[in-house]
Amino acid sequence: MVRVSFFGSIRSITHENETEVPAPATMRDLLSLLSSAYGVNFAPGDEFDGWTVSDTETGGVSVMIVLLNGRHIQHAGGADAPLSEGDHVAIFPLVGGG
Amino acid sequence: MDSGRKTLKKGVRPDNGVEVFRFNIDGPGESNRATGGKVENRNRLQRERKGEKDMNKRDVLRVDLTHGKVEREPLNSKWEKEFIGGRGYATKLLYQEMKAGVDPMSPDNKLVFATGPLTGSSAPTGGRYMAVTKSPLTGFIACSNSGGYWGAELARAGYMHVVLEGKADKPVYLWINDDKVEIRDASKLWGKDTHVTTDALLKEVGDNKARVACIGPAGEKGSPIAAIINDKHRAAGRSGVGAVMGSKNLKAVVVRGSGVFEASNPGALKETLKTSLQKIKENGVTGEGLPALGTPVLVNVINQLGSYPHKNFQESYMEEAEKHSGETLAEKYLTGTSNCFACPIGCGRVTKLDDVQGEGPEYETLWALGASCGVADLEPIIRANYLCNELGLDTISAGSTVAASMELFEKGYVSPEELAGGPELKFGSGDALVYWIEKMGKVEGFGKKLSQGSYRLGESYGHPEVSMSVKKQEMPAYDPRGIQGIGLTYAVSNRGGCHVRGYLISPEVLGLPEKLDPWVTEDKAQWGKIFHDLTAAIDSSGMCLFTSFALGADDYAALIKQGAGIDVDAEELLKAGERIWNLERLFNLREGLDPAKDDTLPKRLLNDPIPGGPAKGKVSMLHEMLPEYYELRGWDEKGIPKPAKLAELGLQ
Repeated sequence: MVRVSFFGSIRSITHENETEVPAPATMRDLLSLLSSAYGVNFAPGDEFDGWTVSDTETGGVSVMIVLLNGRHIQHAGGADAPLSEGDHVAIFPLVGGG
Repeated sequence: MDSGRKTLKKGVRPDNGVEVFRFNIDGPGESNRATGGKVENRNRLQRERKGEKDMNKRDVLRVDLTHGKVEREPLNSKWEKEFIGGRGYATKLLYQEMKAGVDPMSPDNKLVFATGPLTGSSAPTGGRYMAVTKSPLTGFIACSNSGGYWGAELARAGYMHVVLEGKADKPVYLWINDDKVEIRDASKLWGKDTHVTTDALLKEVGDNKARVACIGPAGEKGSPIAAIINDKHRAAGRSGVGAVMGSKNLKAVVVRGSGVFEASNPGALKETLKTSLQKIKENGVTGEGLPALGTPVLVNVINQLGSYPHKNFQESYMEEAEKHSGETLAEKYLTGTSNCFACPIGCGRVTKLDDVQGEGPEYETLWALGASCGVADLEPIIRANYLCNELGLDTISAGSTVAASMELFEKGYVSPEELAGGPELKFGSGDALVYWIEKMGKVEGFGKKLSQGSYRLGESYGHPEVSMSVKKQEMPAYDPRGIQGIGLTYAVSNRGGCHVRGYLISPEVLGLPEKLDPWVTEDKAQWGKIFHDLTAAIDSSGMCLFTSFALGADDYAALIKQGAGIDVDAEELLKAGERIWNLERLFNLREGLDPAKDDTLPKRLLNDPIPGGPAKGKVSMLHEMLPEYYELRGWDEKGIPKPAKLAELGLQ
């Protein structure tokens, strides 16, 4: 299984903080699976800016930060990163502060 | 006397509903020595050179607390061009006027309340002020930046900077009411917390629209981690600026102004404001993340990266971090949000615990009082945060010092007897956190030792290594072992351990303006230099650093030029930032900075790998970044600015 944690405003989409799914082959596959499950579009991108979650009803698009086992997805293989049993994926909205 | 009072004009009202006032372009104020602590600028209106769009719009107010004298001086227009204002201008003033080796707590130290040329303007977030002085915590330059409304009010009163000198012979406060300036008795307020003080002063001056910046007991009693609190909930927190205020017997500065800001080039500014606000609105961080979630939402992000220092940096991942995350804070304690002056972002979090309403905790505070002390639950963190604001303590240093004391206690260096019946200093104890923060802020019992900050606390037990500090100032909430570039910022920051001298978290974690790998050191020196220079310039402008998620140097330069009439382009602005950074460096070198000893990180971060979590095994590789940084700076291999660089910057 792959554990997927949701944070910030992503939780208002998923209405849960965490889920577990049978390990898909890649990160791209996982996002497709999540899109189907939650009725939104989790879209990977080649560039950092391309990783978004969009509401199919309202058309609202938000940039998201995706971590695979604590590594930003851009440094962890991108959309084609293979997923394995026991992996942890964390999905955040773009946030900032200091 | 109120001869200089200006008519309040209707301002513009940005999206957030905050009224933004505009300032008259005044002529330079004459140096005007007055007796009895009063300035009565009788001929000010006659001296206004209406329509003259030079840079001398606001004046410098110089207050000699020893002799009760107040003078009004014109701004140095050359310094404005070279150092912009705020942080830069005040550093120049201190470097020029103070001798090396001044005891920071002596009357010879000077404390400058400095605004920027855009403070009080309609520039987005243009409400910042800085407290600049020689730090009693580090012995080097201190510059603590704060928002709220106090800075804009000072600008409206017609002042760019207030220079405080000497020491009053009894507790006093400064009452700046436009051109009328008085030094008043504050004996009855000595010992009171910042909220009681603020309420009492507003009542005393009889104007509830006045703004108050004051210290609490921590500042009065000389704690080198004491803050200045303005508008009750905003802090010029770092480097012990509150202690310097206390050393001068100055309890508060109360300000009321009625001026209006007039842009140097209103037509052009209107367009620049429109595009700047649009960029801020469209940016994911400033338009969506910060307004909706504030800074606390970073708790989970940084923890999931495995770079969330836990138990005084002994670990870097906290299993229970969710309990004090921004998400939990919003669910259980958030009652609203707040904006500083002219801010379209509104990152402030209004919270309520029991019947008490306050602001915060922000991300750094959640970490310092929470994860760093091993405390998971929000309630004691919120309570301790409120105490820090009321007693006048810097939350980062206060939390980190409690964390260091917990390590000392758990390792047996502090005995239970020393705590005189207070809760044992064990990691994870919310009771200990709240109890000892209060003792620290009141400088009572073992709290006296705590009030000295983590370095002096550790040193007093022969274990300064427990202090997670740089230049004796406690580091913030990102572990430099897992985020390499921020470690460079910590190490070279002129005010000691600090993240907002160059927020490399933006590219390393958030991917703005582009994504950098936090685990590598490549290019970090170059990014660091650019961030450090730009940040120095933004701070000096009077705008909030958070705008830099959305705006670039060209935007700031346009706002400064069109708003304040300082003729700079983006390149010159960055050069001004570089000049400011180098001048701060020169200030520190003059005060005895030893780069080999001081431009570094605690040994724990250089030698001890992160023991677990996503960044397990990482150490800081500062040695790979520092030589390159020095070279890019035009400094020699020992970290000393080369003559050619100083000549280039006009600092020789």
